[in-house]
Amino acid sequence: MPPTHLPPMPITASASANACGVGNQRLLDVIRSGQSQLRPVRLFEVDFPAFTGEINDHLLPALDDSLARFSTRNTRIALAALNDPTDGLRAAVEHARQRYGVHRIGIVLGTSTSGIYETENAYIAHAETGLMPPQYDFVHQHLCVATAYFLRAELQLQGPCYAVSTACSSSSNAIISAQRLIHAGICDAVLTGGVDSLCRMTLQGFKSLDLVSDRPCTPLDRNRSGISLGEGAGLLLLERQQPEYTGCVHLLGAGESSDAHHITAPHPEGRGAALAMDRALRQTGLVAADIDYVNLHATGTLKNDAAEMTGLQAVLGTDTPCSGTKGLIGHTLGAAGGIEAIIACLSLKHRLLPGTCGLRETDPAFDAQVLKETRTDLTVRYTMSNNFGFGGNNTALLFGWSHD
Amino acid sequence: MPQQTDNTVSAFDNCGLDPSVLPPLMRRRTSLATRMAITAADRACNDAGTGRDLPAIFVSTLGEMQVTHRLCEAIARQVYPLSPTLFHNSVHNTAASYWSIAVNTMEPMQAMAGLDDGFALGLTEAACQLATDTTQLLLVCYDEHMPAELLPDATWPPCSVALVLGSAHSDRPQLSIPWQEAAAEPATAPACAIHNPALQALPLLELLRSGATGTHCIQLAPGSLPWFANLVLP
Repeated sequence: MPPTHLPPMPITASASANACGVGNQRLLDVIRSGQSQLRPVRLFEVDFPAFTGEINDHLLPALDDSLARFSTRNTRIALAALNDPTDGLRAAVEHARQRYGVHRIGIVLGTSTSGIYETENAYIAHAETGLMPPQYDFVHQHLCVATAYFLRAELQLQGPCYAVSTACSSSSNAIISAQRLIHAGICDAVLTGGVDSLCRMTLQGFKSLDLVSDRPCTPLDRNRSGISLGEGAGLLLLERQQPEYTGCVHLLGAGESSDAHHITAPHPEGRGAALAMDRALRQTGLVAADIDYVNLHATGTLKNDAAEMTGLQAVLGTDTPCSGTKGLIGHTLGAAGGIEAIIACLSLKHRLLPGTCGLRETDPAFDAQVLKETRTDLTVRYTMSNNFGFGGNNTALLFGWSHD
Repeated sequence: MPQQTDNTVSAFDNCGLDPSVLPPLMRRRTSLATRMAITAADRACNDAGTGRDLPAIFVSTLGEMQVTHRLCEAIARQVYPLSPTLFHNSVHNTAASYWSIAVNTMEPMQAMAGLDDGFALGLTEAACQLATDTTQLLLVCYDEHMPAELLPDATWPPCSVALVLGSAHSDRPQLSIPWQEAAAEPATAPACAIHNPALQALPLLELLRSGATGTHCIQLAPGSLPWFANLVLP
């Protein structure tokens, strides 16, 4: 079945929190400077070198007492982004809520960690004392849906509310689900994107798979040696088109696929990645030559980057400017789709193409326009963001200005 | 290290748990949750007479909670390195990924989570996908039991259900897009207010089996703002 052409949908607000700090301006400043925010992990002890994009604890607000049962690192990261006054996401949600009514605003949030960090702490306490800590609440902290439920309570919304959890592609799958909710007429606006927080499980887990770099990650580099984890929130308010939103950046389309290959390794020829990118183009009617920039998934593992670049070349050829930004803030896993969607939107709004922080020498096997340094003062019309998850889940999102 | 017998799996031998669509090496490493999801998915596709090259939606509240539990126990005792197999089997989309690999489909796999309303949300996502990307898809809703230490009061029988859904077809049962409506009386929340969302499929399944005709309004999820859908039986 040929992909249905979905109407462009405005992103009326977005907000981020990550190792750069809180707010899209901080992220933009770091993209411009190209300064890596990766540092040795502080949140917990590990006995191997691990550089992470960790958020300074003092930047994470406390939840209101009435919502204390939801309190986790994950929800505090979400709240930090939501509260940033310059990003104005909270105000935009409130505006949509008043315009359309509480039942018409959805929440579709990507996460892979949710409150696992608090569950780890609870198990540690249990091992010492035989008791779970009194403030530990499995339903409101651990469950995959917990951060979405926190946002629903915090913003007093009553529309469809759920989590999407497809590992490293979680929040881009969430954005695609949000797009469909609006297109189907079930919602008029959806708070989407995703949030993930640092925890021992992911760092130790990826280490056990020998995928963690012992130095800050160097995506796309010929000497790349694995990932650096990060944490953060990348939240977007997606809405149905209205006349006053024609000046916003829009989600134009998306593509999804599976690798059907292996639970941890991507298809070596990037066939699933290529299929996702191709579907995104066909859904929008754009062609390769239209794409001004691709924000690659580019985790810094040997296999991901090689597979992705093979898939990219098959669909977009060799001339499309592209870069990986995980060298700045780390691989934020379930939040990566949301944060990198915001980066793809910042590229459009601020007329720049981000570079690849950490890259010294591009892998000579890649025949592509890989950007090392950020380029500014450009006309940027269409950007693509790729995110691929464990188990072979592939997504590609396309952003641009409304062409209505 | 000797393979530990999973007693909970053997207790389900009589329920026809049959994840044989998974190759043996893959199958041995999977949780009860994944095996139940895949059994249901395989059965639904057999029942529908479709191939397995379909987009799929997997919905679970707890996901791979038993695997996560074992990893958390290892973390609490600082037993490192973690098992890489346990780690890659702890992601919420484990069942979805294993399914796509086993049946060799490159169609998209969605993995979602709600609470009691997982089945209703899965049907809503299915309706949205059928309105845009596809004419046929697979919906799987599943949960295994949870570790007793985490929620002692929960009654949480493991259960999975799967449906093959397609665009409207006049001589097949048809389900409307689900909607939410305030309950006529405020729901009294039980002490542990969550239940396996797959069990919410029972009214639908019973109606389908009953031979009834006509339009029926079914409740798909409990709560103070429950989900409903209309089922039209030809």
